Amino acid sequence: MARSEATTSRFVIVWGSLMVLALASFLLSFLHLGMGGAFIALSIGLIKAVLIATFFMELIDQPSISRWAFAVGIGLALLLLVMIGTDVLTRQVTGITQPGLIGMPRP
Amino acid sequence: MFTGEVELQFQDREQQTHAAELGMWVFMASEVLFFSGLFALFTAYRLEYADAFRLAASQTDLGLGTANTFILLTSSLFVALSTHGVKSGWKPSSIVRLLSGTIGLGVIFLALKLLEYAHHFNEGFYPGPYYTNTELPGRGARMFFDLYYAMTGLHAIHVVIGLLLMIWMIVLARRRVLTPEYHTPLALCGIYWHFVDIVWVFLWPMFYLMRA
Repeated sequence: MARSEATTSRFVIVWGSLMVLALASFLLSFLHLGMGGAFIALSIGLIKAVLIATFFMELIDQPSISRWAFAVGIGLALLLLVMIGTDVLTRQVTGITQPGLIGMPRP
Repeated sequence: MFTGEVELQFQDREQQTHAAELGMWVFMASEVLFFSGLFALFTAYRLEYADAFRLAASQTDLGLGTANTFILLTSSLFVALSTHGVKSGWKPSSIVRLLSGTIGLGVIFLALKLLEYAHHFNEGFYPGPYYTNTELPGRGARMFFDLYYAMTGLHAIHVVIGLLLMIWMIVLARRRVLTPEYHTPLALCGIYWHFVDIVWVFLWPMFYLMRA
């Protein structure tokens, strides 16, 4: 029974941390920090995602094969994001949208 | 079905539970990849149309988006506590109350999302070729709102699926199918709900916080 209460408080503490982090993101958005602000907002989002996955989804208590199954998906998604970001940032020809493709009248 | 009986192909309940959980985590990995295509598109266009995206993000409702963030995070707490409650032998009525709270918050989330869509439509921020807003006529703003509707719409569909799963869990809790020994369906549905929460944790800064 004592273990049950400890776990309940753990969930509440994690929820409280998530709320504080969300509030921090909200308040920081008013500072208009440009790209730095975007980096901070996404970093805080990443911390919140790790907290949710670790404690609410109980990834911490899962067998390693389940953790690896999820980690492979995350890893491939990150690879996709990094490769596409690198591609766009290093292109010699500016523009990734075919001219005239958007806003054309429907046939 | 879903009575906790050990199926023929498993040696015992523990092995059956581990197989179900592994299957759920593989499904979650596929969901990550499913969403990552859209996140990659957003990354590419955000880099290309940085200024237009920041201006377009200023048109989204920061108050409603933030409220929805707190709502989803709290709903996740309720789901986590309900799973923990079943494992700890809490009364079914307590589990039903927690799951009902989750459903209530999920419905509020969807209602606020629809309200936001209505505001955007009034301002001409329609998706695709129906975009009519004249204050932000550029291609970047159009791409922002195309991605906004695609990603938040897909997320909303996941919320609806999650709500249906929670209704099903209430039925199982009322029938006293969920016990400290057998709680796999709720644990798996909980993982799904938390994943939906994680997706929103990233959509929120992308569409609401990274503004001009």
